[in-house]
Amino acid sequence: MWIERIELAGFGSVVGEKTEFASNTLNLLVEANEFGKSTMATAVWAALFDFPEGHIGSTSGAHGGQTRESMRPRAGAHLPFKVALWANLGDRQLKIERDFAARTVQVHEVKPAQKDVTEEFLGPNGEDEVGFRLTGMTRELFRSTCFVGQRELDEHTIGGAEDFASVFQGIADSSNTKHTASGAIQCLDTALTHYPHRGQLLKIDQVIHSLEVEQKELKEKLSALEIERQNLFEGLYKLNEMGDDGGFEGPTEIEVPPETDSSTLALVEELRDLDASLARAKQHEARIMELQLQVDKLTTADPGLVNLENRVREMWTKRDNLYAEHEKLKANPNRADAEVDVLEAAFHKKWRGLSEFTSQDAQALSLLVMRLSDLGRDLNNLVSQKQDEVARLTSSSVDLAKYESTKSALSALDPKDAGDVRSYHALMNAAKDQITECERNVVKHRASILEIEKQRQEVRSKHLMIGGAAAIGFILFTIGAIVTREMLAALLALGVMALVAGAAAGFFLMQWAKPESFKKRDTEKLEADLDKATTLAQQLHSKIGALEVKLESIARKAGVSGASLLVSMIEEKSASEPKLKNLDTVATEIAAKESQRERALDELAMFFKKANIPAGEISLERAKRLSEDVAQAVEEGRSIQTATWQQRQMLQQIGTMQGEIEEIERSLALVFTENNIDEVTLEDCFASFEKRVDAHYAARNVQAQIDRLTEDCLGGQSFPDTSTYVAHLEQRGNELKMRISTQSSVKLSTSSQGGDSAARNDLVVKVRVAAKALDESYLPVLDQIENVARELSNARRSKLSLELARNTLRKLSGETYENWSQKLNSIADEIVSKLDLEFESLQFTSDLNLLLKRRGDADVIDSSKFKERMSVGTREQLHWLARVVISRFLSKDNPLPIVLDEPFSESDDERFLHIMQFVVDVLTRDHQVIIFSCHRQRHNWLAEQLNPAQKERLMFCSRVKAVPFS
Amino acid sequence: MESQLKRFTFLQLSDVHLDSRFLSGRLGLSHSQRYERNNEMLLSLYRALEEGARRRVDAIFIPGDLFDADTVTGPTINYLIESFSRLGDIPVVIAPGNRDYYSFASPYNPKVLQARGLPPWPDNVIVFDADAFQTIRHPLREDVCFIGRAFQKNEVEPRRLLNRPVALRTGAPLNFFVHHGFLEGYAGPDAEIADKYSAPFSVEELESQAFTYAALGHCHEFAEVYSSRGKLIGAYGGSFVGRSFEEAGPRLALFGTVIVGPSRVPECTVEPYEFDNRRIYVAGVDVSGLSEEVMAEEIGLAIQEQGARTGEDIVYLHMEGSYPPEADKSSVVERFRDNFFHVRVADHTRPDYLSERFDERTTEGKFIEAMLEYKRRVEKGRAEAGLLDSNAAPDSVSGGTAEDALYYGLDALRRQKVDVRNVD
Repeated sequence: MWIERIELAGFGSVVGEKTEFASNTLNLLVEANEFGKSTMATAVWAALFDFPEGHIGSTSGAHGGQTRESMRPRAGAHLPFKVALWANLGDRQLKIERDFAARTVQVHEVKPAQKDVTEEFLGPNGEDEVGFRLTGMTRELFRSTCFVGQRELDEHTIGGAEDFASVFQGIADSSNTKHTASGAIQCLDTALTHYPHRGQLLKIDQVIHSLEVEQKELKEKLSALEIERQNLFEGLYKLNEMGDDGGFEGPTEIEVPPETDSSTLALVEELRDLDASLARAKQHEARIMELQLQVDKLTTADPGLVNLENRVREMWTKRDNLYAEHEKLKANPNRADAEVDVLEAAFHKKWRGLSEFTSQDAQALSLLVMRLSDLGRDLNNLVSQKQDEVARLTSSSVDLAKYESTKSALSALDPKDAGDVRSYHALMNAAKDQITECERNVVKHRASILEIEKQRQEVRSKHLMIGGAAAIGFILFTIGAIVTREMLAALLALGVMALVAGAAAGFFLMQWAKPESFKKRDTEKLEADLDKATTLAQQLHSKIGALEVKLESIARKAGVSGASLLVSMIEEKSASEPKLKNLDTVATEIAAKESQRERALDELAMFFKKANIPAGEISLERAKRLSEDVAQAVEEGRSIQTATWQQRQMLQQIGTMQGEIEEIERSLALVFTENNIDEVTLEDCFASFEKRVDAHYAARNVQAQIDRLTEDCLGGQSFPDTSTYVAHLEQRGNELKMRISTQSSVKLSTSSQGGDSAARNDLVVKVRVAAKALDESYLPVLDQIENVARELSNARRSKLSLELARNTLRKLSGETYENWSQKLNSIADEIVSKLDLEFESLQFTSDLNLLLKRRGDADVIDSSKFKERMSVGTREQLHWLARVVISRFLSKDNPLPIVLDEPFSESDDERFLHIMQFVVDVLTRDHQVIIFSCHRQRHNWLAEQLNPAQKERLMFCSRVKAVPFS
Repeated sequence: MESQLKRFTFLQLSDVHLDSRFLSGRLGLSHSQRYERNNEMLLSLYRALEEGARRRVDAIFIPGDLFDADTVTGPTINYLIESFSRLGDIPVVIAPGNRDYYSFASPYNPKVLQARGLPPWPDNVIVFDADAFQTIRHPLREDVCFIGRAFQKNEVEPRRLLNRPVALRTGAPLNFFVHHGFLEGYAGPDAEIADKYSAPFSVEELESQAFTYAALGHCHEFAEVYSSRGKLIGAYGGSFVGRSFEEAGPRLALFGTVIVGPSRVPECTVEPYEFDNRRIYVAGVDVSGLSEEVMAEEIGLAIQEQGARTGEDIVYLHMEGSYPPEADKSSVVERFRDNFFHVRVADHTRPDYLSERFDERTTEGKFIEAMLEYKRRVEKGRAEAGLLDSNAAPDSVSGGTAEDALYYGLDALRRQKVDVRNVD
């Protein structure tokens, strides 16, 4: 998918504008700050997904703080709050038109056919799924992968996290990408240890235990009360049996006088028969009551449990059989695990210290030894190269000692300072040249001024002479005119001549009197130039002074005595460097290799430590021996595993059997628990179950006895039970007695069956004690039992749910990270191999941590070290790169546009150029990339740096006015 | 005699269930509240009897379930004996129901009272003690007879006792039937309770009997029974006091009047009267899509619509639907707690996490799928085993536990905060 165009009718600060983009191109939209570029960027995801509602939408800081409300058109409520986005899906062009105020969306197919296809982008219940169906991602995933908001790449955005793992785990775990599964697991654990119970926060197990104890105590209390209830019933029953003053009556004693008439005699006979029947019925009733008490005492099983009897017995038998088989296997003389144990013990004994090594360890160790060997060889070669170079230079009369001493002396000099020294020195020389020029000009100007002065003196002399001659002439002509005043013509001629001579004398004498008017302008110009040159010279002197101070300062900083010496040393070093370049390169390489060797030795030391061998001085030979031993141990371990496969299979069978037993026991426990059989062991539960089932059958037998007795007592008469029958007989007896006593003189009296008042008193006491106990406690205990049962049920259910959630999250997050890391690594390899960056590999571990390997460096850097070992710019770049990898993974079948709002602001020019070249060369092949930025100069510069092919993939976009759509 | 025939008044109350278990977990009353409520129930009964005495009714009918025989205490029986004895000669006619069944150990049995050291029932108390119908004449009015029977056990009585004429043999013109049983067609909220269908009878069966009026008990809602000719032939007063959320709204006793006019055909009327000062109300609110403020308004409105009175009543608030997870729902509910005698909240709501689309590749997406699948599997397994999910033992996984786990997990993932939810 790629975005062809976006049109904002009204969105934040932008009103009636549109921008067009190109596919597989880096689209740059460069605008000054506060001109709405971030608004445009927000409009892209909002057009696809809309703003979230509820929890996400209102979460402070989510989505860069952009919410529906914050993006309402600022120019006025009357403006449409709408955005339209044209998306190209290859064979289709769609226009998504979203009205944020009305919260509606419409999707029109523009090509190939013109039609409304909104239905296609709605969920089963009509919910808006436009973004999800177009990108295959949820809004939050899109926002955290394909969309990079302003300053999201820098370290502040990841909450100051020490490493990137939590950021990527957040993306892999939750739609609220700030939270990870491990945080959730911790939270669930906290819920399990801070369960609210009667105003306190306690461990849930503790709560369950205390409730179980309380429940047990209450049940015991209830059992005691039930015994009291039985005592009460038995006491009442026995009192009833014994009879008392209140009329617990025995058979009627009848005295029949001889004169009694026949009808009365018939009544008397009927009364006697009735008494006999009543006595028999009472006996039956008493027996029935006894039996009923027996039934009541039996803790019978529910019919549901009885229905489960066969199933439970079947499971129990299967469990017994499995146990028997299991025991038989365990008792087998060729016991599988014994053999395995012997082999493994021998293995551990032989390879003491090495038995814990894995094949990965063996491989890593072998690679390390190879690396150490390679490094040793490389170092030898480089040392030899260095010696050759030194010999060559010595033969070329290069004073290496002097170079080294200069280099050493300048080692404390910062490269920037060295550059400054050169610049300052050049500036000083230039200033000196300028001063010389100025001085030359001063001399020249002064000479010109003197020349003009000289000319002025000469001219003045001439004016004096001419003026004097003219004055003399004036006097002479005036005298001549006075003399010849009689002669008009002569007078006129001489007068005119006198006037002319007078005028000439005046003019020239005036010129003589004002010599400065001669070449006045020239003189002034020359004097101004002279001043300017003098001032400039003074300024240049000051500048030279300042530069000298700076140079002195740098010299002091570098530990060199004097600026001139520093300058000469730098010049000398610069002059020698081309000749010594090879030697320097070799020396640098030697240092790098030695450093790598040190690290390899450190890693080897860890393996020695793991093998419990003192590391001491690790030689290549020792490392090789260890590597070979480890390889052999691992191989043998593998052989043992292969050899004991059958035995292991048998062990597995035992394991399976155990699993089956556990499964059966779980089912049995479930059945028992659900039928309120709550004993310590399963055996006790089964015993209790059998007891209840037996009691059920016993109760059934007793009930059958009751039924037989009832039938026998009633003799087919239609009374519901014996008590009714007894009541009926008593009523009839009373009626008969009434009639006999009113109609005749027959004497009727009631015999007393009791008589034992002491026994009756005991019974009364027993009844009252029981009744009091029941009055005081029975109802409260029942209430308490109900409450505790409810609390216990809630606590158990909460525990089960919380643990289920925690364990499921733990399992699934592990699987997700593992699965993601494999896929991400293959994408990362592909991307990084195309990058000309300072690192050569980027890897995601199985917990989505980042591992980085710099170019030419064997050391792998864990992301926890990024902060201390990398610049902000590099971290920013890495973060983004990792997000690109994730977005590539998530959009594998559907290359999505990547939108960046002011990225890489912390990168220097070189890094910026590299990463943008990567964007152009690599990313734009599969993705459309849209960057919103305010750095016009930087991007113009970027355009200049790209080659023609790259330039073709770069497009500067612009915002143009659009007619707001309705 | 002529004047006596003209008018007969009575007070009818039933299903008081004194000293019954309060279903305390669901009602959620504290120990002191339960104690207070028990006293209130006795006081309500006292007030009713006092009012009956004040009105000089001709009889008081109690058609069953005055107390719960298995749990009733001596002091309560004593209280009843004292209260009834204050009525003087007004007869109290009791037909024991399935809860206060008449057995050899029943407190109705005078010998039991004697054995327990309690005073005997006063002479004005008439208790039917046989399974078969008995007829007893009014001690002061020869024209009035009472017909009734007693349950002998706390069991469902499957027999249709009125499917043949009850032999009256009284000769009295006014025959009052005091009976505990289920009228077919009764549609109160307790009609569907499993053991309710006991001693059933139909309107036709009741009408076919020669009773002047039937004072009925067992069904917990007030209901009048009319003959096919539109005459009142009986009524349930309903439960006398509210004990559970199934007994919502005003609880009643009935004052009845029977007038025999010149036609000599008795005309019955009943007037419901409330003696319990406290009522229970059930309010339901669906919080889906509501903000905290609107949620509070809706709850207030729902309670108000039910008519619950501030400071006096007990409110059962049933909440369902989904809400924004960041909404502080508990503080909304807390606003109502102090307004009533007691507020019980059944919170069946869930955060609206599932309204968003989830990516199945993320842990969250996999978690949701796994938990929903787990829930389906558990529910299916339990259904196949014939086990109800609602009856699952707390330490075995049920559909409900799986759903709880789903929301706890999402709580933790989305908000890093888990609210443990306990719903009965």
